[in-house]
Amino acid sequence: MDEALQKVCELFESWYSAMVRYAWRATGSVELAEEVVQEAFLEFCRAARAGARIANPKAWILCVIRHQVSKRLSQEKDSGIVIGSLDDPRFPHPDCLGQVDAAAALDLELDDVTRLFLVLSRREEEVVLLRIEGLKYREIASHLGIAPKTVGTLLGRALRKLRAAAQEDRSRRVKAGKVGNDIPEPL
Amino acid sequence: MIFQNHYSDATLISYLDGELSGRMERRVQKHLQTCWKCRTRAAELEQQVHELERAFAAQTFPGPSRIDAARRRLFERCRTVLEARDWQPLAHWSVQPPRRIRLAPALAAAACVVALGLWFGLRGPAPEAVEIVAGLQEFERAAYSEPAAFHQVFRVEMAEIRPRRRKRVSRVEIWSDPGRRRHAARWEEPGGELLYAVWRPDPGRRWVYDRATAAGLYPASAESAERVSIIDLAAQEPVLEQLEAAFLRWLRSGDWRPVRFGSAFYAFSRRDGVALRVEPAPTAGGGRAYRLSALQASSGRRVELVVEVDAETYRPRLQYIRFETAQRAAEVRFVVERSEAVRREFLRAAVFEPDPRLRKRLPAPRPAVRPRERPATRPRPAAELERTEMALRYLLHQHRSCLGEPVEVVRESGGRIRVRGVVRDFERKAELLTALAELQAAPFTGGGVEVEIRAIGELIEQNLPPEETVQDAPVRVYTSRLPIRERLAAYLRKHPAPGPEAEEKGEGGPTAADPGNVGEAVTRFSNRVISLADGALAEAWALRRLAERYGSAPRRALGPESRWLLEVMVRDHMAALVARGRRVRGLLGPVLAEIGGAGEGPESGAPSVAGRPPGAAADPAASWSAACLQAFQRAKRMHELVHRLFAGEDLPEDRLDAAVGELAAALLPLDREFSGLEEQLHRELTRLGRRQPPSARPEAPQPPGSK
Repeated sequence: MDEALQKVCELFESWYSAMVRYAWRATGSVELAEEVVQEAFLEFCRAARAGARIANPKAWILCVIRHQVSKRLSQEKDSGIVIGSLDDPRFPHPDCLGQVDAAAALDLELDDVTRLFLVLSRREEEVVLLRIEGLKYREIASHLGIAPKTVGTLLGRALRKLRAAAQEDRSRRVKAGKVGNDIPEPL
Repeated sequence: MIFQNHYSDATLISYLDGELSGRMERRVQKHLQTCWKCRTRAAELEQQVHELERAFAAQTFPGPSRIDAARRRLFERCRTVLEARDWQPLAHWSVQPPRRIRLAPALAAAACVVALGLWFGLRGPAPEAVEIVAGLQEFERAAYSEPAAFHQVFRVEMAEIRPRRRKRVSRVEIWSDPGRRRHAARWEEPGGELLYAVWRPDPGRRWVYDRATAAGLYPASAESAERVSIIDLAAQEPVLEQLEAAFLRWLRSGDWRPVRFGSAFYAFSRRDGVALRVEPAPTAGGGRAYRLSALQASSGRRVELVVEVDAETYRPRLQYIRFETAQRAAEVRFVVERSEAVRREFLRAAVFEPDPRLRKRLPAPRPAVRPRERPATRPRPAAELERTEMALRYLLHQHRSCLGEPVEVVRESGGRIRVRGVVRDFERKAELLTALAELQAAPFTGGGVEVEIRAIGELIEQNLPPEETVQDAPVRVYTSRLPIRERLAAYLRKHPAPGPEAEEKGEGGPTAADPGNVGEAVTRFSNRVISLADGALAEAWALRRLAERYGSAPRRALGPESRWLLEVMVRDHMAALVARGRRVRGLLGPVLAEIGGAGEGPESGAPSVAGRPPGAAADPAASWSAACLQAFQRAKRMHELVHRLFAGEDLPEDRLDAAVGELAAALLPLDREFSGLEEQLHRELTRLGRRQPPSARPEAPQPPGSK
């Protein structure tokens, strides 16, 4: 029993944050992400107790998370309820927002990462997220059920797209700045 | 090599990530030495990786406090899973074997086996629990997927079984139309008097009738804030009043879906350490039925959820939750009286609209004194009063009522405590009343709490002036021509991107990329600053009230639990105040430094705010209440200055520079001062905490009446 708990402890300390971030990006809801990751760890605990031998616990847990996420998302879709809450890290420090009215909170822009990732396909996004959380190609591949070579392909393509998007963004801002100086002030 | 092939992005990034085989890696390396194109592309990819990494490194999610909470929860749950040896892990989902066989039960069991053998000899074996759960879910899925509306009627029997038997019977009728998201629910006494009802004729409108709040019928916000499952009833103490309050919460949170026993059962059965069992159930009409039960027993608490289903169709007909602790036991039973699908063309839209007779006597002005007012017959000991008062304060704190809502806790002569105040609407009133009613049911309060909370609507109805003005929303500035406006506009035009003032990620500071937006950006910026300052002042006021109430009282007069609650509240407010102060500083600091013109350094004579130099903030001899009052003075000063600048309180143009300088000077040490105060508070409260006996300090913040 202690052994299983210790294993869970180790995994939690090294991977919990990464997994929550991953689940959050996939679901868009903090509570749902935390819940799903908790469940996955617990499932691992159950499996360990039942004596299952799991070669790569990290990938195993990620796989559970992924299934849970897609299951819950489809459930939510069926039930017609939109996931998402104000308790979202895109709106930082929800407690501190306090009396700032909801409209102003919703008015906040998407953060840089979220905005950047809009250009990626679902698979590319997943690969980049997993890579950035420190997974090896082999682990990503086994988690997504693709060949390790494909991981490289997706990653290369994603980086290229991100670069193009970032450049475009930058040039747009520069342009906007120039235009702004020519027009008289409205005040 | 003049004509050469190049490597793909995929190969290059794999090479950079060290994911190529040794031979391939050497090849690519060699190629890169000769090929400028590939080297450039590899460098671009690498640069993009750096940028991504930087963007991600700036993320603070999930943050240490969330991780801590998750860790605690997970390990507790893991322990439950690992220690649940007596129960079969749910992964196998089967009928529970008996744990121990004693003689008398064994004989009884043998008799049952013979009887059941005869029964099943004719009828066939009972299916496993997992099959019935699947069947039940399948039935509900099929039944409720029709494009129709559903009508359900349940008899609800809430009963306290131990220590004494008390029972209340009521009736719930639910209409739901998932396709059009319409919904209506009525909770009635057996005589037909309406206790609570909610109507949602379309997704945008919601009406509520609540007899308990004496508010009659009132419109409520379209979405309910929390989602409550019927199983959450079992999280209550097994006391009838608490059960009713929880049931009301469940009704209030209901959405447009029909009630499903199967989903609730499935959700419950997925909990840790839950064991399933199935047995034939007796039926009156001669049909066959199964009783499916899920039992969770942990740390002296036993919760059992039972569903009875028809053996042929898996249609559920009864569900009950029974839960018990060592001293108490209670049960909530739902008997299905009706459950049918109604075709839309036969459905009257009127069922989703409030009853006309209720509409007629809209807010009935009634005496607002409420629930279960009992005269205090015996003099109550001071300690009990103290504890009750603190619990009430904490409850209001949890409901954020201490932040500017005019609700107060007053102790009156004769051992009574009165909670009185005015809230913004009926819904808020209902929320507070429900929470207070739960607290009143707690044994230690002795029932001597009088509640007098009114909604503004009631006051208008009774033509009474509200006792205090109600701050509904923070001050907003849109039109008035502020002297600082032009400078702010110039600043924002100069820093069109989310400027340095939006250091915190996602702050989404005022952007003024397009000059047309500058005005709007200035307004937004001002509003945000004012909101933050207002918020900080609200927190500071809450601190001040606590300090004034409990600062001078000898600490020994407070019991350990009260002391702990006080600490929690003070810490909460202080932390929020520090966070707000920091945000104001982060938002305003760079702006003021630039538009102020005159060089105000940290030492440029910050006017002493409360008559004490900043260094004195950490004076260990000062009491916590003094620290709170000092924090209040600082927040008040900041609030004044911010309002003078951004809300245009009679500030002549020529004094603008002075005002900007003053605010900048006041802001500079603010951060440090708040932090100093917080540290001091922390030190003192920790010292106090250590002095208490360890048993008196509860580990988890779960005082009575906690949410």
